[in-house]
Parts: sequence; structure tokens; C-alpha cells
Amino acid sequence: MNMLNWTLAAIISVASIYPTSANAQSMSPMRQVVNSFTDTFAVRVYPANPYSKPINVSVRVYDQNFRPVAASVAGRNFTLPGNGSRQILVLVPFDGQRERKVRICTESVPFPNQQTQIKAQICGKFLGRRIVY
Amino acid sequence: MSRLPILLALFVSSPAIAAQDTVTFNATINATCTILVESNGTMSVDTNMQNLSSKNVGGTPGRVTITTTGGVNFSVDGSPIVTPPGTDTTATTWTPTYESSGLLALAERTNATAITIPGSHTLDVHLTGVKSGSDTFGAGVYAGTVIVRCE
Repeated sequence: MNMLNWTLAAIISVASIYPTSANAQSMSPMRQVVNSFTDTFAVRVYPANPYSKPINVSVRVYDQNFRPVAASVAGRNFTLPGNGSRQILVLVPFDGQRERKVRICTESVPFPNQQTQIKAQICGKFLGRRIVY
Repeated sequence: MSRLPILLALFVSSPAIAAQDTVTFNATINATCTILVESNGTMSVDTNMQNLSSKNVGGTPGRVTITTTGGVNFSVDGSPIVTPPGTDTTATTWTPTYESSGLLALAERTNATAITIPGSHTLDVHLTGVKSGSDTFGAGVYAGTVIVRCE
């Protein structure tokens, strides 16, 4: 490896060494079937931080192909204290369908001025069924 | 009056009848998953300047620990978010992979894995960028983010 290669490797390596982050999270439930009489179904999820360090998390809703779903999330971005948990209400529109499968994911968000190379994502699978008489 | 001794004898000699029943316990453990990012990875370029990877000499994989009841799927998102330096103007194909050893032995792969073994498992996460043709990586800072997913 010539000097240019070593220099480039060093730059890339140094640039990629970020502080070790203890980003962790969990979420419950991870499976649920919800029946609804309206054109929206509601899911209550509980993101949790099982570790002592606070973490920033974001709750997002995706379809089965991980395309974003226009759902209402009460408190999309927030900080979870160490060993803390928070209840989040998610309202998902049926968009004219009788059933809708979505993924609700809790994602770690890097703190400002820190770059994270690995982003953890915990996703629950939820099925909404619209009851029509 | 003459029956009193007989009744008394019955009270005295009757054994105590023990009542017996069962108490049942049920429990349902729902699938859970926790991801801990133990460390981020570093990438290093190969001698041809066409492969930037955590698997090259000088590179290190990222490491995550998942703790689960089982019954979940682990995967890495196939579309990592990579920010190249301004000097890099050519296309790069980025591929995230993962592997693990020990109780949960997984050969390096890109696709999702059903985790059936409950407990904590440590996995190594790699990121590799490849240039084609005569394109090469340029000097500067490359920042990549790989999404690891448990669902």
C-alpha cells in the first residue's frame, strides 16, 4: 500500500471512529390485532430504555414494504431516561381498506454532534381490522 | 336416649375428610427484542482503492447485542445512509451484512434471520462499498449509517 493509500485509509478510519454509543431500546407489544369501528385504528406502544443512559428515540410508522405511513404519533421524537419507558399512542388511518398491516418502529436517534454508524430499530407488526355493519 | 352413645361414637371415630383441588397457573410471554449497539464500526480502503469495507485490513465491524425471547426476525436494512466526501463523485454500491458466532451461529448474510433461540446474542455488522470500472474512492471522511432491525 503506497503512502496515498495509507493516508486515505487513516483518514477514513479515524473519521469512522465515533464514541462508543450504548444506544438500546425495546418496544412492546411487538404483535397485535386491533379491531376498530371507525376509519382509524389506535395502537398503544411502550418504547423502553433498559439501560442507565438516556437515549433519543423516534417512533415511526411504515407499511409492509417500509414505506412511511401517514399516521398520527403522539410524541414522535423524545428522550427516554435511563430505565425509562413511555406510552405512545399511534393512530393509523385505514385509507379505505378493510384491513391494514403496519409496522410501528422505535428507532434510536443520535445525539447532536455525534454520528452513529449503527441505528437500532425495533419494529412491531400490527394488523388493524375495520368492523363494518 | 339409647341412641346417644352411638351418635357420640360416630363423631369420635369419623376420620377428617381432607379437601383437595388444584390451582393452575398460566403465563403468556409475548415476543420481545432489545438491541444494544455495543460499538460502531470502522471502514478501511483496500489497495486498489475500490473497496471500502469494515472487513478490510484496518477495518472493524460494528457490534450489536440483541436480547430476545425468540420468535422475532433480525435484519439489516439494505439501503444504508452514506455520506461521501466532496472528492468522491462516482457511484458506489453499498452492502451491509451481518454475522455471528457462538450459540447463534450465522454465516455472513444480507437477508433476514428468524431468531428462535431465546437469550442474548452478539452480532457483527459490516458495511462494504464497492466501486466499479476505473472508479476509486477519494480522500476524505465517509460517514455511513446501517439500520439494524428486530421485528
